[in-house]
Amino acid sequence: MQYAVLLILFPLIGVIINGFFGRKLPEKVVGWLASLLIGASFVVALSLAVQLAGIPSDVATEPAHGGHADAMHEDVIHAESTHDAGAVAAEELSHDSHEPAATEVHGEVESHEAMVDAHGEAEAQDVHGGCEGCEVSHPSVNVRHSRWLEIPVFTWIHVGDLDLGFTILVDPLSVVMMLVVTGISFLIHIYSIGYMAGDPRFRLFFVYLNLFVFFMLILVSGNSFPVLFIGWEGVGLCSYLLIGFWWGDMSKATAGMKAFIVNRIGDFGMLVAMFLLFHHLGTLTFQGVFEGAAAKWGADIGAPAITAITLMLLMGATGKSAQIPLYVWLPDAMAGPTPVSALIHAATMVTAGVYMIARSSVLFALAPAGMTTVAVVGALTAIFAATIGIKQFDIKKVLAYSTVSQLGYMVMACGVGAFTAGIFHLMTHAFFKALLFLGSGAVIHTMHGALHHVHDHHTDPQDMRNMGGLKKYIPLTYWLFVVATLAIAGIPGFSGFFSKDKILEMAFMMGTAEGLNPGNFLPYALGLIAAVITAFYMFRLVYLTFHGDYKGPKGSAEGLHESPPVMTMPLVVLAFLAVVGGYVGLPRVLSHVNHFENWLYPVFAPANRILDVVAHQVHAIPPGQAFHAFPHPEPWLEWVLIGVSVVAALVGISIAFTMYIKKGLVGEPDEKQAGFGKVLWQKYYIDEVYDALVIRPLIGICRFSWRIIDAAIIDGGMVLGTAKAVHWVGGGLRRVQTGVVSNYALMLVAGVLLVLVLFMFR
Amino acid sequence: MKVFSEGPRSNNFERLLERETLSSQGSSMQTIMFYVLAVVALFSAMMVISRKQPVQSVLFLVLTFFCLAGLYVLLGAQFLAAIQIVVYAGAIMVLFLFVVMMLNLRDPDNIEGRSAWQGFGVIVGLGMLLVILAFIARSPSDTAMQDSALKTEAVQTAIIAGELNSTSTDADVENVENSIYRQGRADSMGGELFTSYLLPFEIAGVLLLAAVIGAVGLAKKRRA
Amino acid sequence: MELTIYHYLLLSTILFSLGIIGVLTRRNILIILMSVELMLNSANLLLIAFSHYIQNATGMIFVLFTMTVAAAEVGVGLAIIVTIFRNKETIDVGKMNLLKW
Repeated sequence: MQYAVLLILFPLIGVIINGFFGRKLPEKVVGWLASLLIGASFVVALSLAVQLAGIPSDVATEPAHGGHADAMHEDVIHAESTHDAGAVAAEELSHDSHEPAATEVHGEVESHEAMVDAHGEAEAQDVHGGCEGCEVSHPSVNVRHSRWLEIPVFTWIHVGDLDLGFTILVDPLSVVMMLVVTGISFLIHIYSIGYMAGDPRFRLFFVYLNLFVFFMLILVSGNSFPVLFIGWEGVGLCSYLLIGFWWGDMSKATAGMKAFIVNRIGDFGMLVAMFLLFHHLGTLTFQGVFEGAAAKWGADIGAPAITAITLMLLMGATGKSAQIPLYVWLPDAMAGPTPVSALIHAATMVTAGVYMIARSSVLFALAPAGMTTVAVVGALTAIFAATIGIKQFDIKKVLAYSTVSQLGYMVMACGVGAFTAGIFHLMTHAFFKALLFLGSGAVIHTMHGALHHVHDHHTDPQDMRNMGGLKKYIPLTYWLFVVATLAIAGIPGFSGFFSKDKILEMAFMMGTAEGLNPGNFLPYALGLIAAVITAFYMFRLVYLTFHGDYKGPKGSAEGLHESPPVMTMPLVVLAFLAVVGGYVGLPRVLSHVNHFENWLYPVFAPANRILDVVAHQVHAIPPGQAFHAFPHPEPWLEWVLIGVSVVAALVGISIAFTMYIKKGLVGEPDEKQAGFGKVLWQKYYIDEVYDALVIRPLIGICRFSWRIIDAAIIDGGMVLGTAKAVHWVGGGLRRVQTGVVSNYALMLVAGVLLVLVLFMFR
Repeated sequence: MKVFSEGPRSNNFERLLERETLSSQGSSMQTIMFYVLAVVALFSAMMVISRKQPVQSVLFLVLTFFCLAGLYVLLGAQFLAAIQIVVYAGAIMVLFLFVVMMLNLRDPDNIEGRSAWQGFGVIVGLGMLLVILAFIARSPSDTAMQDSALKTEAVQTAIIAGELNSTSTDADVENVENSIYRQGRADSMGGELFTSYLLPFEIAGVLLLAAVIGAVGLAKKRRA
Repeated sequence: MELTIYHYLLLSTILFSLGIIGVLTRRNILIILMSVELMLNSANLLLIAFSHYIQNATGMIFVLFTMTVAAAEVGVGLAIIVTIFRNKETIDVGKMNLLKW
């Protein structure tokens, strides 16, 4: 498995060759070299996946149908320990002595007494040498399984107790990420050869792209938080470089800085989380941290420390994955070249936060409050961004808010314990969102060509109000775009449907599991509304862009032409993936085996086991029947949920159809925006609010620090003041240095005299 | 003193007490000499520091050194008195005189002027005098620190050692008494110097050599 | 009144103070050097006086060494004065302020 290093090495080779020796190489060579190296990485990832699949899993997956609760229970607990009521109760009892408040959660005195009995029983059995399935157990976890392969590359940090290797972790989750990253990167690299053709800094663009892939692969394949953090920071850097790739335009350079700075806030959270982990557990490798955390907090679920850690990790995720409140950088990041938007700001980098949460699933499982926060943040982001998307006219801005919204879905999935569904959506989203962005790039490319044709340099080629009717000029792009739109809208048969439906189903099941309180269905409700809105704004996009009449400048329609094959071919591949990508994880009612779930099962089994225990403790659900550890609705309920999802999508589409096809509405110009529409168009004025609440006060403080504290007090008062005082005192004291020996003698004798006098009166 | 209470020795003791009056009579001459020398030394010292003409200062300094040499003799340091006259008054002061004359300072007023720190210097000097006197006044008085007491002690030591007995003549006793002036004589000084203090003596020679070389090196006219 | 150590103490103290006053008040560097000699001699006197009254020869030996050092000091000191005079045409310490601020 040592060849796994090549996975990371290939992009780095591209960076080195193109970056240091590529000055003389022709554009085509640079582009294809970079692309093929990523392709090579993809092949390596593929081979890793095949090899991993060849290893039999030692974590048994659940049976396909029926009675899963019990059967699954046996499997998960997996000979290590069994949760019978007595054990769990005893566990609870041991907490009660520390935390009286916990008793309230568990309710009545009666059950308490029962616990005492159970406890006594368990203890008695223990004394008698124990018996199978009756030892008291914390949800201690064994993270390693047969498909958890660590490939050491070199020792990175070895200091004190900390021994960190630069080690590649190959497990089902990281392999999925590697495939997604390298696969999509490969396609987008090829696309970029066409899109960036003729750009004066073509070579640099590919160097940055390769560098990005290099860091992204480190991010997904690291076996510890610090290695993940290298990748985390590295992709942030590449994101900054690529957003501001055309830095000649001030607004683009500013967008790059905004992305970088907002991400630093999230990175702060990541760092604090790592510090806390190291402080509490003394290790930072995934295995060490997860097993250590389970051992330390397994008996004390929801402890402040672990809750703080998960919230800090969430903060990191909100920065990287553009969640509320740090999502503001992502829409602006669309200033970068469109392939960058597709690769970094839709398909891969922004999913790093989701990946990190999923990877840390054990930690989140140990902190119910953290989980809830994740779910709420995700759900709010999903609907919040979706509403903004309704009123945007820049084709890429719509897609950007759509991305934020979809990322919200993924985060919400993680928050409700559906890590598998989150990763599933991450994958399908990567396919169809990359396709959407590249398609929009093709549209922009076309529009640009058309405007160039009539020498119009004022009209915005990205504004949908200048498009319309492109369907007949660029049919291939249109049909590919429609496929992706159907996928994101959640039309059955396309990949987005399966993953989104899975998330909604899980959110709904969480609601039922926690009791039929309306508040518990909030994530589901928000997700469902967001689904309606998503379908609406996506079809609005399609209708405005491709249907109706062409609204561009006169005569420019003759300049409209299809993009070159080097750009359309990757789109075709992505479209194929956008359709079939979902079939690896078919819903339970349609297929008796969900390959994707089974594949990721060992990764999330420890977290699911903890969630199972949490469900007992918090919700008093009988062991083994907790929803988290694989919540499965009854078939009829599943059908209903699927139906609701489809209806939601269709409602959205039909509203869009009514408005933009039947009524033939077109986007109103900027100055005619009014009412709530204007609020949406202005993105809820969030940027303005941040500006007023954060940036201006910050600038005020900085100005104060600069003018008053630094310039006046420190520079003027302390630094110059000290110098002035020394100068002044010295100016006076130097008179003492007359250069006349007699005066020195006089002082000397006077000093001796003084000492003698002091000596006399001592 | 039990030692002297018995037999012939007590007789001796009586005689010694008699001699004490004798020696104190002899010491009155010493006292007069001391006062004369001290007054002259102080006067000339004051002249040294107050004359405008350096030549006058040099000559008064020579006078001071002569007076001090006389005081050395009173203290039984005959050898050092001789050295004082030969080395100090002779060699060193001649050197001074030589330099003063060589420099040929015609306008002494020009080089001396008054300034504030000179007044302050007088105050500090007088303050130093007062402080040292205060220290002396505070120190416990010791009556043994006089010649007659030293002589009595020497005689007593000699009696205990058996060097003086009833058969001893007055001359013998006087001899013993004068032994208190013996250590300043050239022979005893030389004995000390060439035995116990040989190494410092040699080093002092090296110091003088260095001084000679240094002085020549400094004063030599450099070829421009 | 018989002579005691106190007579000599008093005398040498006054001599020493006169030396100090000379050093501190005069600007003629030759006279300053002479005042230093005065101070050295007052110390010598006291050394001899104590040596006599304690009946210990060490003090006298020490005086011998002091004289040696004094001789060396005067030799070098006068050489320096001659050099200074040769360069600056003055023996006024008030004018030898090359190391002034």
